[in-house]
Amino acid sequence: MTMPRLPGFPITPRPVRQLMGPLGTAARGMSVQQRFLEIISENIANAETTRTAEGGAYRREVGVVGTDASGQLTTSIVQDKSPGRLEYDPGHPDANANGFVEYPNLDISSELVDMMIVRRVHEANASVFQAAKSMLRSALEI
Amino acid sequence: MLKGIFGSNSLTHLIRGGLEETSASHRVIASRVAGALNSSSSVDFADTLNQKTAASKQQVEADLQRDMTELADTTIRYEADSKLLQQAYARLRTAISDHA
Repeated sequence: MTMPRLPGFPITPRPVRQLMGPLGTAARGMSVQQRFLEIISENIANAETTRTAEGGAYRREVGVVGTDASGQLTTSIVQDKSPGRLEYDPGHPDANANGFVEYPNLDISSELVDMMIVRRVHEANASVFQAAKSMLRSALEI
Repeated sequence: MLKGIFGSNSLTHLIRGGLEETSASHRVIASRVAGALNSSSSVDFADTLNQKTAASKQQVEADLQRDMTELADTTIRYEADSKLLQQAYARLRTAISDHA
């Protein structure tokens, strides 16, 4: 005996990814902030580097956000080509013919301020993530 | 009769619409906060950075404070909607079980 077929009804698929969208977006935002933090920490670590493999003093690096073809956030690094500060120190091994040493073109205070901004934005993204989680949880309780 | 309970004019349908609208707002807020910073530096140093960020500077600058307020608002609205939907379904379940 065969069972009669039930009449079909239209099924409109609701993508789960759409529901999880804010989680992914906040996670991408947090990874961008983490990359920024890495760049800033590298700048601070090299604040006194007067000799690099490329020659000359260390140049400040800045992370820049962009989007790829699919609209996802991407980060790239831009080097600040401005000249660094010169200090007169004839005894320094990296001093030039006039006795001046070129130090990196970065200011620790500015880097620390940038770090605080990045940290706050990271926290904002973490809050968005938490809110998305609590919304999903309350949706699952329905 | 079932159309009256689950149809497009029913309470459950309205609340579901509210839930979808709130989650759409949340997606927009999430993308605004994720792209809040254009670069890791607050100091403009050269034309290089300006050229790189020229396109993104045209985007609306994210106002974190406003976004976080909207986020709190959206979260509470979503939780209220889900609670209302939960209660509406609970009432329906009670009605079904009482008359079974």
